Amino acid sequence: MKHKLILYISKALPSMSLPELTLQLSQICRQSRKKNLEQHITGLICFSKGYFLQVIEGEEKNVDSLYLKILNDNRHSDIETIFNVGISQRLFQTWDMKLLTSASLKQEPIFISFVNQVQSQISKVSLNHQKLLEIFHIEENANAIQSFDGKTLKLTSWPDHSAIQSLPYGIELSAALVHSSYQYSELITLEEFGTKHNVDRVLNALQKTNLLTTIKPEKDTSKRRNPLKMNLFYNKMKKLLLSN
Amino acid sequence: MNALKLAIIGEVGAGKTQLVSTLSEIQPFETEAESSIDIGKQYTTVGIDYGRIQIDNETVLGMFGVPGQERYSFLWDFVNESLWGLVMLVKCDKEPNYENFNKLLTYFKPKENNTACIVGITHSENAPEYELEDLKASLQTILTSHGVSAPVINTDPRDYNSAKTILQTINAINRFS
Repeated sequence: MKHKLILYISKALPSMSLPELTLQLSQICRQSRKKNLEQHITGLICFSKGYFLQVIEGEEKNVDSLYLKILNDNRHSDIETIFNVGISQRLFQTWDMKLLTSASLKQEPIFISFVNQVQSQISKVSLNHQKLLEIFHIEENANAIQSFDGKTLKLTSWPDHSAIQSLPYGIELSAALVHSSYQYSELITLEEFGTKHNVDRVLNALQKTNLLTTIKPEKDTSKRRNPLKMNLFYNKMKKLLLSN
Repeated sequence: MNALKLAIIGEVGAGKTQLVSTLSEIQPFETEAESSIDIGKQYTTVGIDYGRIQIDNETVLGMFGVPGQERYSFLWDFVNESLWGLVMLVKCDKEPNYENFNKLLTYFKPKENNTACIVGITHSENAPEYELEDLKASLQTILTSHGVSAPVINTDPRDYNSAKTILQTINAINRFS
């Protein structure tokens, strides 16, 4: 039986408020899970900056039938079909319509694997489609950071706490990198995140979340924070939390 | 004496009273009354819960548990000034109140006020994984729309270590922002 996968991006209706949209999105997921289970359709849905991204996969006739309904759904507009391809096996087998943020999309190994598999096709899409994919941080040849030396690092958003909570200074280093970029050498010399070994450990864990990026160094980081004022209460609270 | 304020906001049953009670070194001052409607428990908070942590001889952290419903917005005014942190508790539910969550962010303006903010999802122990993931994704979407970068974590207000993680995270956010 032939299987296929469709990835499309569409615009949310501007008349809807964000809470209405969010509630509708979670309702869509709940309803579609039930229906998609019957049709054995798997995939994901994501919302970012006023756009939906959805991936549906399954038997060709079921996917085509569902996509026709999606095209005629008046809850969105400007639907752009980015990929409509035959597949030999499902890529999102266990996802009966998973809801993700664009930040968590980047962290999901299953989705990363999908992007790697369609790399050659991403390079061939139109400029307009490339711009739409960039909204969801899907770009051609995204390179992982091989080594941290000489790099200026930043987190694009907070990682899942389960990835960092058990690591010494995991929360502190994440808080720092979410707010500002830091040169790797600075993270070591600050001595706020333990030893170099510990910094590397946390950075490696953050790298696996795909939220850690390299950026151009900031020109002047001296005004970033008030060390004297913030350290006073910070150290007192830190000491209290460690003692209990 | 230096006094800092932590506001803990959330809907009925989210765990505000419990969180204050778990963290407080003093017997928390709770303002409860018997509920006139079925909310899943006998008593509900009708004012502000207050608890305290003595950091050292000179410094205390005051914790204020405030109802999140809009009809209690007059209570929000009492706490929304020079906050050390804002904890938003959301109960894991089939129909979360995103409208209210959005209103709280609009009122407290954590980005504009540079307030350290964390979202704690409670009652998540027995929730199906997909329901929890949907909730986290939805809350993150609303936070992002307000320009707020805040961690969204599973929280058990009854557990001291889980509650301590909230303080550790707020402390870290304040240090590096």
